[in-house]
Amino acid sequence: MTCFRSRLCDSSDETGRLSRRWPEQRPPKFPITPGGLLHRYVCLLLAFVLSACGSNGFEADSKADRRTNGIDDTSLHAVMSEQLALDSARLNTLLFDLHRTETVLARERQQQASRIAASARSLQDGARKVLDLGQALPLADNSDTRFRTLAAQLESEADILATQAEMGQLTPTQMEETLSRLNDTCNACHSLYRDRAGTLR
Amino acid sequence: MIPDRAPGNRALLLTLLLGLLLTPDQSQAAEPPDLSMGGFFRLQLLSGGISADRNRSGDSELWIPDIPVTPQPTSNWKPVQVHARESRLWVRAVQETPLGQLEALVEGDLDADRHDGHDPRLRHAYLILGPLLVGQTYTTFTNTSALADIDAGIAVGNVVTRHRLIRWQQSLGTGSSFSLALEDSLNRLHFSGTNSIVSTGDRRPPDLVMRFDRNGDWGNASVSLLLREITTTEPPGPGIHTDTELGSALSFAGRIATGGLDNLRFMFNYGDALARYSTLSTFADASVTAAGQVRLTATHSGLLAWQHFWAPRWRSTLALSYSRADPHRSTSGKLSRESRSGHANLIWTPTQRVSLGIEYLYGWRSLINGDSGNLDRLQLTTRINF
Repeated sequence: MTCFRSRLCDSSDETGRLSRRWPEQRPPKFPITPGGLLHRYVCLLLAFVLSACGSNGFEADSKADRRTNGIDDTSLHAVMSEQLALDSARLNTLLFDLHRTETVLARERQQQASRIAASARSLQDGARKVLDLGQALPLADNSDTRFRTLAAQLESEADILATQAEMGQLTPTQMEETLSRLNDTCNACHSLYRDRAGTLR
Repeated sequence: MIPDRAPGNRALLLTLLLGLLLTPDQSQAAEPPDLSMGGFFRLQLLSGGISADRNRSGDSELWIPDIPVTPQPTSNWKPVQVHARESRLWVRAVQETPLGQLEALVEGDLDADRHDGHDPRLRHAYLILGPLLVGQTYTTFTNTSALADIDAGIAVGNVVTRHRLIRWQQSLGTGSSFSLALEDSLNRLHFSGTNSIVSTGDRRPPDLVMRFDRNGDWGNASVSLLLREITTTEPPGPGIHTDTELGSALSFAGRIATGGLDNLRFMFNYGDALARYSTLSTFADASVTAAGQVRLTATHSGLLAWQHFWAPRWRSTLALSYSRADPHRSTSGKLSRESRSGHANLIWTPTQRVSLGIEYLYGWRSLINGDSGNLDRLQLTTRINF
């Protein structure tokens, strides 16, 4: 299984986790002005989308904790590719089940596919929100174009994954390939935004 | 012609009739059924204690009555045993019918001959139409998702019986369901003055099983109730009448998610009708006294297994299991009273089709007369899915 890593806006968390202490960890990089607030909002939004791409595998529970704590925006928080990674891994474990029969496992796969479809749709919504930001992105020149292209690519790949899952056409191999492509897109986005964020400091 | 003498045979007959009735009329050019096939090749290499069985069947799998007891064999370590008897093949067909989706599954392995052969054996053969299942498969009494992921396949406290049954499973919404089943009514009896257990089968009401299941993101849990009639079908001796007792058993089982892919599996069973369903039929359902009276065997068994994923492709299971029977005092002292097993493994799945595992197994059993013995075993397992 591909191992994902996420980064916050300030790239301070090398573990790839969105910590519960996230609001306190935000350094006062941006002054509290209308523009600064907008910048902070955009940064927050991007952090969620980008972190949704990233995961070290099985951290969906901590995500759920944050959601119940209401720390993050609910709609963005539904964007959980960590959940995707977990569901994908669960799908893989079914391949080596020794006791349950194929008909039981087929139903289990259907349930996993439904969960994967829901997570992928959430990821797709998150990518759309980035695209809807328009000129508010804290990027300039060709970086902005590149970033938006990657967001569109993320939206498209999440859509493909969700559609495959909804139609029951998702095999573990397909899942791994699609997650790998998503991971590549995420990493490209992370890299681009980190580079750009560095120049903003 | 299938003799109409056992509920299980009637179940198979009903399966065939149901299949014929629901087969679409070919003249209407119906869509062919979706057919899929799969399985796995499973090669096991074992090294460890020599079993008590004269034919050495217990050398290649954990068979509780074959765990040697005092006096131990002089040479109690067998270098290597290799077999692929647990390789499996299944065929599944799904067909749309006027009554809904009809699903059929047939699965077999190579474990019919537990000695040195690799003869084919039928594991499952059933039809599913909506909530109705008819055919041969795991008893409704067991929760198969609670069984431990161990290479030995079974732990002593497992309920893993497969037999013929008719099951109705009704969804209750929000992850809950209720099942009601009529199942094969085989009895295993010990007759006073003998040292063995005898299986008796026909002319009895089927076993009745009820089960409630609850599923959620946290895992699943189930409670099952089993009702059985245990009887001597024929007078055990001249001037002695047959006798009948009604027995019952309860099972509480489940799999609880403990973070990520890790999970805790458990199964606790208790009752005086449990014996044939648990511990690979090691215990007798009842003892028949010299006067012909049926005395049920109170039995309890349990399993606790923790599965941990070190990484997505590396996993381990630590499983502890036990079972104990309290038979009537007329029962032979040479039959088993108690057994325990412990399992620890490490399994690597380098690709989605291959797994390699190593497992240590410890088995122990004691007899009614107090003798006891144990068995250690190390086994390497390779599995290739297809």
